Amino acid sequence: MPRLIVQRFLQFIPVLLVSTMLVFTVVRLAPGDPATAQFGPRASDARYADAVRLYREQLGLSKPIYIQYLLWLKQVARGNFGDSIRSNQPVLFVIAQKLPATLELAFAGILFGLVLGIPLAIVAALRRGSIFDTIATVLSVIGLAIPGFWLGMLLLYVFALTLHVLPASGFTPLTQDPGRNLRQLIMPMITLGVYELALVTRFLRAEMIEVMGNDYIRSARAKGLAERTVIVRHALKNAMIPLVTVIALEVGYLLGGVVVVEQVFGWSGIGWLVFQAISNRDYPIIQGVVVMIAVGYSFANLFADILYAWLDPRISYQN
Amino acid sequence: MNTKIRLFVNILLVLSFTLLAACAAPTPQVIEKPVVQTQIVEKVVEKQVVQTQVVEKVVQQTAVPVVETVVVAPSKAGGELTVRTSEDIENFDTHTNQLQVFRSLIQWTIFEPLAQYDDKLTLQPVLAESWEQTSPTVWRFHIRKGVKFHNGAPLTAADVKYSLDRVKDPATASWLATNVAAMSSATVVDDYTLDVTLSAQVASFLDKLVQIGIVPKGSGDQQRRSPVGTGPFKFQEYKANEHVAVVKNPDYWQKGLPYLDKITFRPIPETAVALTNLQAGDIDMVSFLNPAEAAAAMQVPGATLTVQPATTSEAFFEVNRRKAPLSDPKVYAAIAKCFDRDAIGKLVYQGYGTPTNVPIAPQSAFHKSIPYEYNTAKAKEELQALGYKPGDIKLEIISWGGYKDLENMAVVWKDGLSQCGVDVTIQVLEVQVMLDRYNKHDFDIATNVAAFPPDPDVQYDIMWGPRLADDYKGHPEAADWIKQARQTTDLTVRKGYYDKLQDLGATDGPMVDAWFQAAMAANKQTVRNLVITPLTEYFFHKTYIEK
Repeated sequence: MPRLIVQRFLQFIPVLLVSTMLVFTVVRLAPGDPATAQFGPRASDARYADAVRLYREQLGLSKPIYIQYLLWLKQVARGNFGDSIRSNQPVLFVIAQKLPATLELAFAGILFGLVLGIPLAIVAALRRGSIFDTIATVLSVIGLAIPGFWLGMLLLYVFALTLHVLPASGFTPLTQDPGRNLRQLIMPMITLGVYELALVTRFLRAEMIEVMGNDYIRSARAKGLAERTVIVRHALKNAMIPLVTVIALEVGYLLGGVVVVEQVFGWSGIGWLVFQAISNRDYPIIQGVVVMIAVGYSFANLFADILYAWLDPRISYQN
Repeated sequence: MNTKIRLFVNILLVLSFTLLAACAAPTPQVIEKPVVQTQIVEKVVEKQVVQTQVVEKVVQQTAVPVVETVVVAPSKAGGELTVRTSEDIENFDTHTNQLQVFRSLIQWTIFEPLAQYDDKLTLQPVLAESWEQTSPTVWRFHIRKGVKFHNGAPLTAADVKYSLDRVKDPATASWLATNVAAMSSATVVDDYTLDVTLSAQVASFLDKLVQIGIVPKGSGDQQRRSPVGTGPFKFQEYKANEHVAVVKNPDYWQKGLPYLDKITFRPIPETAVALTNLQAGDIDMVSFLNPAEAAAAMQVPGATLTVQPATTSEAFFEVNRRKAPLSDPKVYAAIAKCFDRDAIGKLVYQGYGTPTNVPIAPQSAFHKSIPYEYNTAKAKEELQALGYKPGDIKLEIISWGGYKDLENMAVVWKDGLSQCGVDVTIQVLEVQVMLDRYNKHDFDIATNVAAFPPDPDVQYDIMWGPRLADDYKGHPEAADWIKQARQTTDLTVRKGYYDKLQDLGATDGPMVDAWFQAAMAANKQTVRNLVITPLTEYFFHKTYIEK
């Protein structure tokens, strides 16, 4: 296991290099740059030519892209991700401000999906073909198809405007006011969690159906084990392995933030931050967030691998 | 059994889709509801009128200070206001942030210029008590005494000089640099007197100064994150994508003002979400509504609409006169006839605002009323006479993403052009993509919207100026007219030049002028005295919460 962890850390490096190089290049090839964001339509006015040129030089944008990238890498190796072009705040500081909100929302959404989805999937699989199974399947299809913006607005209308039981929007840090934070979390959690619930239900149901047909399940029943033990200790554990992969990918995805949910509920996280940064061509923020997402995905996959070994003792990382 | 289950599932699916459709956002309807016109109600105990006099050919302009004693009713004082902004503000530097939402909503809570237009479009002295031209190229400003910056330092002429020099310095990257391009030097005469010397006479110089906030000397580097000005409110804090907060300036030079203790600006990009927050009571005001959004806002219980019916904010089309066939004045004239401004009024702006064929606002003394012609049959004949058959001319209109009214304006013109036999595609572009194509002149027609101070020199300088060298070679006299109008203060002479420019613009210009917009905000009925000026600036100086 320690060797696995070391190997994974070593694999981070090429992953980080490739992903940052790609994003660095693509963002700079996209139309517009920080100078057009700063000067707007006047960027093409000849009277502003000197100011625009000076601005681009100050930001290092007049250098070739590969030079800019190498300079940025050199800076990052020293732990300096630079400053936001728009706000002048250090990139790490800005990301650190937004990360707790995103982590909280991401894990709440996934937890919502797992806590409700696992029992739902088990029952649907055990009662395959029943009305319960049909309802679970239909609801999971709806959950996958439903637009997050629409669901969020519906929840706002019902719980904030009609029933007045939850605040309409905003984010209060958990450390500042846990009660208010949790009340603000409910609607965005449900909005995000409905998709996760649907995903978990559909996936796990299919896996459970397949696993329940295996010989070792028949053997476990034949041994006289209680049905609950058969399902939880034998069937579910094996069915969870592919689900762990899916959840790990979802964690990585959610760490990048979900712009729509954040904007509907004023939940100020990474999604909104990077959306604004892309709109404003705030290159340092974009690159900083890309590194964060790459690291997040890598850690999520590492955690998934460790979980595999716990779920399935046959899996060993000794060699 | 299986049949019953299938039937049940189908019913469930139909109900689900019905629910989805039913819960869609309601189509805005025009509903008659009383709206509040922006107005100020106050007790003025003593007031002197500012007069601008033109004496002979050597113009001497003096501004007599306006002295107002405002009686503060105890019930007006106090309260906090939460205002929605359409995007997050990350830069608070008054000299470098050109975002509309910052300039209109936040800037003048913290900063103040030397002079400013009020909601009657009258130029009022602010940080300059008075001014005069000691010669055609020298303006002398008398700085108001007793004004303090938020850091406690007194305002002096040196701070004004610093601010103007900073805007002019290319290293500042200020979008206002052309406003002081004609300034060759600013000289501190004494602590409260500043002489600004121009390279040539500029009649609109004061108009160009109204956009420049005054900051403390040497404070340039801190302004982006910790802005310091002389305004009625002081910057308190900023949390990215959460809020900007400003608090009452207890040392504000206008005694008794402001009434509010605090204003919090919250970024909520989606207007539908903002109106939901307004209804839930989480915010007090939603600004920058277009007419469709205003109609939706009028359905919010407890909310009212504040309207500035006549602004200088104009929606228009920029026509790329470099490209054929648009470079042909006859083609330009023909396609301009295909633009139905009456339809814009009904369908896009729903009666708010006024149609226009010229870029100078009707409130301006320089405005010339030029009737516009909408005649698609005649336009089609003119194009055919030029040898164009239907479908020969293909044009693309690019429009700013997020500006539904501009996009709808493009749709109306597309409809008219199709009746003239011109094929049009509309591309709605993300802001940076739009800017990139705009700056590279990679478009046929582009929608745009801009608000300018009343003196037309500012807008002709910004909108026509960059185009005269390349786009508009057919009329070299236009550059001369703009220059002549700028360099004289004789109002009659200036009017003559602007009349010529407006005549030219209406028949063979770089733009097709469309509509002067109204400015609208939805606010709780308890929010009183909200002022929206014709320059689409929101003033909170005298706003209060009715208790």
